Amino acid sequence: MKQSHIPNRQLTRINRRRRSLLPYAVGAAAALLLLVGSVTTALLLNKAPKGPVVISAGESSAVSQDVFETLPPETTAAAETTAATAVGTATTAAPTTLVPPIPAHEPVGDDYFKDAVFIGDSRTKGLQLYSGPSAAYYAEVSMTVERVFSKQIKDLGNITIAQALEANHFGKAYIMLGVNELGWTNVDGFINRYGQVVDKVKATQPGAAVYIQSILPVTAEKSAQGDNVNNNRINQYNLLLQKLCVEKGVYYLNVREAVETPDGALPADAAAADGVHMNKTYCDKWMEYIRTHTVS
Amino acid sequence: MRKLTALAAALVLTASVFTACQSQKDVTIDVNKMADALYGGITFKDTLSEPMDDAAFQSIYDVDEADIVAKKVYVSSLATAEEIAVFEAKDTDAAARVRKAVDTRIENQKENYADYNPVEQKKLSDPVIVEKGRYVILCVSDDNAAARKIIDENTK
Repeated sequence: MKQSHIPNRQLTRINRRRRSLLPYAVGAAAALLLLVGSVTTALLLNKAPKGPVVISAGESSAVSQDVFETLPPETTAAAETTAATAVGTATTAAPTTLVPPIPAHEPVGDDYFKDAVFIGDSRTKGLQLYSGPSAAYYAEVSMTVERVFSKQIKDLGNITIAQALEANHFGKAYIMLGVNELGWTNVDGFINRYGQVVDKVKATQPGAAVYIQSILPVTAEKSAQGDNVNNNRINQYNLLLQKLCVEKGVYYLNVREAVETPDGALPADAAAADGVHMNKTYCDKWMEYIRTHTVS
Repeated sequence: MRKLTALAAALVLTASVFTACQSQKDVTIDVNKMADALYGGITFKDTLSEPMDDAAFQSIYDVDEADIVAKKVYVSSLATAEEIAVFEAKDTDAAARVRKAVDTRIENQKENYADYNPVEQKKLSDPVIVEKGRYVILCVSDDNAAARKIIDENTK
C-alpha cells in the first residue's frame, strides 16, 4: 500500500506500531545471539578432557583422541627469530600440555631408584653426574633414538642400550631423547623410532613403569639463533611425544615444568655455556621433579 | 786428564738426575687446594661442578678406588670438555695406573665430542696432564699456560 494513499492519521498509527515493535525486535535478536554463543561454547567445552586422568602403563588412555586434532600451527624458526625483539624476550607460544600431568607428592628417597634405569643423551648424563641417585644410567653424549639400537657404549661393556635392556631388568624406566634429533627433517621417522625404543623397553622390562620425559627447553638466546634447536620445535616434539604416550600406554613426565620460565624457555643462568646443557643447580631441580612425580 | 774430566762430568750428571727423581718422589700436593686453585684461577667457558658421588665419578674414570688416597674432580655441564681432576695415588705404581685412566678419559672425550662439538677437539688434543710422584693432575681448558703456572705454584 503506497504511503501516499494512506491518510495521515493511519500513517501515524502505523509508525507508532513500528516504533513500539522495535524494542521487541532488538530483544529477540539479542536472545538469538546469546543462544548461538551458548551452544558454541558448550560444544567447545565438550572437546576438552574432563578432570585429572591417570594413564596407567598397559591400560588404554581415558584421554580422547580428539584432543590431538587441534595442534598449534608450526612456527618456523625464521619467523620466531624475526618476532624476537631482544635476547631473553621470548615470543615462543606457551607449550601446550595435552596429557594431564602426574600429580605431585612428597619426594621419594634414593631407594626408590635402585631398580630404575635412565635412558638418554648428554643431558641425562649430566643428571647422572650431578644429581642422580644410585641407578642404572644408559646415557651417552649424542645419543639418539637410532643410536639406542646401534651405538656401542663403553660403560655398558661395548654393547648397545637395546642389548643392555635385554640383559637387565628394571622396575622403572625414564627416557629423555629428542634434543639431538631436532634437526631431523623426517619427524615421523623420529616418532616411529622413539616408539620402537618404548616398545623395546616394554618388551624387556615387563611390569615396569615407563616414563617419557618431556624434552627440556633451551634458553631464549639459544632459541633465537635461528637453527632447529629452538623452543617452538621442542614444543612440537613434546606434543607428538604426548600422543606417543597415549598410543603406547606409558606415562608422560613433564619435567620441563621444573626448570622453564613462564615463557617456556630455560633461564639464561641454567645453561650459560651453550643454552642447552644445564648446570648442577638446574639438574637438581630436574631430579627433584622426578622424585615428586611418580606413579607407583 | 780428559778421562778424569769426563768421569767427573758423568758423576755430576748422575747426581743431578738422582736428585731430581728424589725431588719428584718427595713432592707433596694438597689435592683439594690444587683443584680449587685451578678452578678459581682459570676462566672456563662452562660451569664446572663436582660429580654427585663415587658412582658418578666411576662412570667417567675407570680408576680402582684402592689405588687412590685422595681425589677432587670438577666436570662440565657436558656443553664442553672442560675438566679438572687431581689425584693422590697410594704409590707410584698406582699413579701410573691412574695416569692410564686419565689418558683413557681423554680418548673417550675425543670420541664423544668428535661429531658432537668438534670445537672441543683443540682442548682435548693438548690437555695439561702432569705427573709428580704419586700425584696426577689433569686440566682441560683454553688456558694451558695458566694451568701449568697454578700447578707449579701449588706443588711443594
